[in-house]
Amino acid sequence: MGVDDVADGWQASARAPAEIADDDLTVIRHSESDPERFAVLVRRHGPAVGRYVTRRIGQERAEDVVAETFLVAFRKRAGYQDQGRDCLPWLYGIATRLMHRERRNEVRQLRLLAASGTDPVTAPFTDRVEDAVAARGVKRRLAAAMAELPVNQRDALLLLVWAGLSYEQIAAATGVPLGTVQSRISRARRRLRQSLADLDPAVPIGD
Amino acid sequence: MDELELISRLREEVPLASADRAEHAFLTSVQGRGTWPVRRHGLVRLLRLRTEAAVPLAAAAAIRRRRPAGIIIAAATAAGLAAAGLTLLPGSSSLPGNTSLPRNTSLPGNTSGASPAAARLLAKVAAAAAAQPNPPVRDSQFVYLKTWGAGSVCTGRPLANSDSARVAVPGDCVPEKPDEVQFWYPVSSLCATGAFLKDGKMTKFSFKAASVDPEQFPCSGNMNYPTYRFLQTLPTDPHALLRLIQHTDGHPGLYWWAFSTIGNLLYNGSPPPVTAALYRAAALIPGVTVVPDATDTIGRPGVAVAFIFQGIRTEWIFSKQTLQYLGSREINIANGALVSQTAIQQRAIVDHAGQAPG
Repeated sequence: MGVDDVADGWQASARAPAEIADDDLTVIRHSESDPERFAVLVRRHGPAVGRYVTRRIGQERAEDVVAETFLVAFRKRAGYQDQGRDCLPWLYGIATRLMHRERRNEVRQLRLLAASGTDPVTAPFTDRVEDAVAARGVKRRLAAAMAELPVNQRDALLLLVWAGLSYEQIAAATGVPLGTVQSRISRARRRLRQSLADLDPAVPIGD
Repeated sequence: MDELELISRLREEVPLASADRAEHAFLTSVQGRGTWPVRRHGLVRLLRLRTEAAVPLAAAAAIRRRRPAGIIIAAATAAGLAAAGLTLLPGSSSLPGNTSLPRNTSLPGNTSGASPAAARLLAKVAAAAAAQPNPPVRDSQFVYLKTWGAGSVCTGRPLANSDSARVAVPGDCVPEKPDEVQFWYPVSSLCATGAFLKDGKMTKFSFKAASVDPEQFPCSGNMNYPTYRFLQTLPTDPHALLRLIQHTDGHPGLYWWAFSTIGNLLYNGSPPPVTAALYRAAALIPGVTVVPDATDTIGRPGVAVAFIFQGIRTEWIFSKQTLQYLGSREINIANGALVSQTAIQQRAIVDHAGQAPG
């Protein structure tokens, strides 16, 4: 019942020099005939997507959303065509849409931070919060303002700042026109500036 | 400082998520059920994805989609719970059955450790392990394991407290029928070809064939996917060993993480001096207790050490006579339901994959 005799091919590949990693698009195409290859993308992008989602809604809910993000991506992979060789913006877009059902949770945690100065989202990652009082004041104002933003504006703003996407990538990831993205972000910024204006003279009101 | 910069600093202490955990959560959800401890059997899961082709994979995803949110996790084993990201961190007081949410960044130096009874039991188990023969092993050989395992299918509802709805999910869990699987793990390399025999069918596997990232999964093995050779390199000083385990990818401050990692390493079967050190390291973990009577998957009675995390009690079961490791099981402490179970019926070093031990 030995299996050694049929294992030569695999052992040969084990000795081969490390391949240059395939880009995302190539992995996705291969994963259509070889589904488990999709796990490569999960490993590659899971850390960043996980961080983004955790930052928005907290670790407890993030795990579900991240797992589902990759499931959705996996189901839709055949439709992934021209969005580029790096699929991370696409994944951010899926995660962002899935987080809409967590909106109340996200806002609740922002309000908690605004009200108490303690952030439930970062609590698991910080041994002791020793913010300067001033910094905490800014944080609380910021959180209060972010909680009040319409969800579409918050999405665009956080895809820009936390996920590091360009306006064009945000437009592609969220499926809205570029002009709409620009307008959402500028509105969100104006609101935040207003809410912070009296705290810091270096942050002017208006454009 | 403008408002974009302020936002960019907000919550910037949130770390990158673990690639292992993301992968395991994905594989667990795609598979729809977890019969085996996920971290150890991640390899086998990857291979199942490969050997059972695309159709079952898509079907499993579809099944998963039909289940109510949250329930799916319960169908994974408790090791899967950790891997699938159910680790809940301190600050969440809504956890049922979680007496002390353990977080301590200086765990090995902690003087409290396991309960006195658990420490005594682990000391005896460690002495028994250390007395086992430790013959030299060749690179070309295989670790043979005859294992039994089962998960459970849970129909329970998430807890009423919606903010922690995913936690302590199992309500009514029906244990699955245990499967017998025999494994041949190459002694020296994850990239060499191993095999498992299930339902009379022999399937070869190799990490190389599972197209996982070689940087994350070196052929020589690591703490999550150990080879026998890797295990031989571990320190036999329990404090040093525990420190090393803590610094494995995961949640270094969490006692549960240390306990579950040791549990996975025990399952694999390590050289006797390392096995003994693993037990002595476990004795340093606060929250480890004794369960006087525990029965393993194939009905062998024993005594166990246990750790409760998120309403699930994970037990390592030992023979009362020989003090050898029999297996492990996970029990929902809210209702006593068995969430998952594994047993090692036989362990040996053999010369060829597919060869039964003599």
